[in-house]
Amino acid sequence: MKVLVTATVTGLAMAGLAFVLPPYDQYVVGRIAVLIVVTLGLNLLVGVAGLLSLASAAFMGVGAYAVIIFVTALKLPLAVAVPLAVLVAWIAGWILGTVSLRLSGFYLALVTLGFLLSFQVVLRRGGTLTGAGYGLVAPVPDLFGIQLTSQEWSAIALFVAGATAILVHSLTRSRIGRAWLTMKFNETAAELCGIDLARSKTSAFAASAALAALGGCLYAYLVGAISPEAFGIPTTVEHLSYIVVGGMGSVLGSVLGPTFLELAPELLRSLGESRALFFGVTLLLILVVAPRGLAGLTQIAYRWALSHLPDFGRDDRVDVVHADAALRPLGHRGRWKRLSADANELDFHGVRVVYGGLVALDGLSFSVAPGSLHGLIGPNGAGKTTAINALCGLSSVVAGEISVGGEILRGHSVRSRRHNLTRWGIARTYQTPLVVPNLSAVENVMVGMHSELHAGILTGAINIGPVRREELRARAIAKRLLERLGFEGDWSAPASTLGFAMLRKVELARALAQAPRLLLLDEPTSGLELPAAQAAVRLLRDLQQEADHPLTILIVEHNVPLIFGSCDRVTAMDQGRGLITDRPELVRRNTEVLDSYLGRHGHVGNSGNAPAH
Amino acid sequence: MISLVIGGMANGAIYGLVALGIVLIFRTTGVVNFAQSEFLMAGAYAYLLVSLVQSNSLVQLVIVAAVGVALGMVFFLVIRYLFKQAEELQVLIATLAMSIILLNLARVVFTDTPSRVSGWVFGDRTVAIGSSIVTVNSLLVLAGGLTVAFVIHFWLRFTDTGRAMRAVAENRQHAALSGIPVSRMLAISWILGGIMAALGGLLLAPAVGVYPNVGQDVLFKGFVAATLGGFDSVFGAMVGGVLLGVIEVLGVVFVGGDVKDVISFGVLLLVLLARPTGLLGRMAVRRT
Repeated sequence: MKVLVTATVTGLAMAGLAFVLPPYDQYVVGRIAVLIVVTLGLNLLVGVAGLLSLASAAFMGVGAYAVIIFVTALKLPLAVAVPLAVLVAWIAGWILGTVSLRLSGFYLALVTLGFLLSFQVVLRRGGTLTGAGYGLVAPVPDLFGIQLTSQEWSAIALFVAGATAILVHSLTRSRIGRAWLTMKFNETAAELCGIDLARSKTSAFAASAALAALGGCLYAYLVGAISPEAFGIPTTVEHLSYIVVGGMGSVLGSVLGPTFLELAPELLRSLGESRALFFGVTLLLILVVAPRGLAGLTQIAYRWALSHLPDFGRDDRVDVVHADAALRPLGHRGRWKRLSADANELDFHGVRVVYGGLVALDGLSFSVAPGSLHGLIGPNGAGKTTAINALCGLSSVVAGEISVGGEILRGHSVRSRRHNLTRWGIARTYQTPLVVPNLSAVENVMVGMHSELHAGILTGAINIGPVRREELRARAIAKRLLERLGFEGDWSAPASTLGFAMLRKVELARALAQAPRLLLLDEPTSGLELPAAQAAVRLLRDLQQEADHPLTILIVEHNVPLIFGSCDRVTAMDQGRGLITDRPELVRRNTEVLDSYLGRHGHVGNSGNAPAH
Repeated sequence: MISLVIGGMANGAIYGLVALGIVLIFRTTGVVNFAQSEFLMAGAYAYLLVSLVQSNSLVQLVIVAAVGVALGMVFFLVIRYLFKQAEELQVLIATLAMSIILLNLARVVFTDTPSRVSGWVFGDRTVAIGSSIVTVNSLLVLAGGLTVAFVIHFWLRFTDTGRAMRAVAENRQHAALSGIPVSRMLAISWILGGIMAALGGLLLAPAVGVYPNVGQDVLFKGFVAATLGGFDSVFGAMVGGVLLGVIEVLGVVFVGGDVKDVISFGVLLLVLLARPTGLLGRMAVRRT
């Protein structure tokens, strides 16, 4: 409710502007309101989800043309035409997102640019439907039989802008927003947290297109007449400039950008013809002087605003009901099935992985018992991380089999294996922690619960009812997890402000939040001092005790004494093969393992009777 | 039909020149230059102005090239020194901003009214090929485009500077460690890119006239041509351009004039989705 109320109040406050300003200024602020709506959408796509699009003007055009066509040609009432136009753009955005799913960066920008140019052609060749080069004239807006004046329409635009800003702010803090930010930061990490990249990308495209179209609808009736020129490349470039000048990924930036760039030339109206020139120069200057935009420049004001705006979903209340659910937070208990009671948790059978000419895994075989703490050791280049990557679907397995809980991971392409990993109960950490810098510690942990939460774009933005309760619960669980791991620091500050040791804890907490049956830790103690490393391993033991289902941990380490001192069983690897899997004291005495570490390969082969060191 | 195809190839050679500049700059500096269109526009205006006062073709050529050099240098300095640590997207938008500035400067100074200018060296002469008549300028465009592509291709391959430039493109740090003056190589790329586009302006102007948007109208096709050629191949960019020009003409003949502008988008989508390394390139489109 909080979000809806705030959105309404903000919208009404902004709409009030239209009633206190003189007529020309009403039009100016109405125009800015339209641009704010479009910019909010584009910033979601470019700044939050990290997908560069040049098609925002086209989607704005889709909205503007669609609403007029619906009202004049199909005789639909305005209150139906606007949602319908937005829906059309949503679908168009979804299709464009799907088509360009596999492209990123510059090529993505190119395809969206092509879309924009093609849309221009459609408008110009659309005959009487689109009015060709002349465009269309909007009738007087008629809402439920009431004819609206331009002042009232400006007020509506302002209301929509204010309300949308609040809703988008709430959306960026929701499950969907977290997924977008994680995807922008690192696509692999996002996938292994159970985030479906394809869905995330297309939904970002669709949401952005819908907002652009909403802006387009407002624009059509505000200006009164639309033509293809209004939705061409220069317009798209202006939209991009708004987010660059305002601040990438920042809702405040989406408001400041268009406001500043539209107001400044109004104030310097003597510029006349050279408005666009001024625009280009300002853009370049801001890029040089304030790479993070106005929102970054006015950081102090920004912080102030954030701390005074209601903090949607950032509640500090720990949910009492679930206070006991420390380690098995959400979802379905005991969902992990094992084919037979004595099946191993993890089996590698002759797994072979090849990178070009290099054989990274050469028939690796080993097994991990359920509920055990299993060490994987070996000299540099032995293939330890490759083994984990093969399991996670980051490296293609050319021969052999991997099974989890006795079930062979077969028939799954490398790609589909990645985002099914969470579903199979496999979670991992990385040699260098992959923690999203723009999200807080708590939010990072909540990313791990992505596939068990249900908020969509609309429900996430409105944050009401069951979605809100679920979010609060997830937040409480995330905090308890961090607490349990001994996290010290600011829960809610961006993770970029955290130290290395804390980042490790955040990452481990995120992996635990996935409620895994099998936890893969890639050098979890590197960069930690020995006492801290020992404490970390003891903690893993305790976590296994506390978990309400068998938690198996596979730990890849360089620190061999640490592994020998703590693991149930150890697999020693060398040159892509498993040498031995056994209890630590037996592995320690194994001659092959000694050889691989002490580098006696050559001697053994040549002299057969090498003197002991 | 023959005149149509030659016309298409001539258009394509312009796309190729734009693409060539984009590829040269991108390979060495890693910057996708959205202001390449304005380099071309500046070249066209330079040619228009100089042809009013000077009838010597060589002088005209040198002055147009000099404008390209100057613009390339300015862009090099701005990107190199003002955007040293900027992210990819910021640099991209910086080139967009500079493009807006140049475009609107031209609008303020020259207004949007197109000016006519006659062809370089050969004026408005035409020649008969079989039963069809084509302008000499369109043959010149085609020959000029192909020559430039050949020269650049062999220059990159067989001269010390060309090799040094390829080394910078391959790995900037290693190149620097081997004693290659990286900064100079980056500057040369920008300058060459500027010259290519300015020449494109000189060659395109007689066919379509000179107006501020003259470059904007071919920029996207330049990108498509570059993608078609694989984005890392100089020769591929030119072949891609000519191919795109021919595809466009054939599309217009067999489907109708309406599709002309949609064709390049279709070609782009096809290439990106079906053959991401382009027709001649080796470097894969970055996919994730």
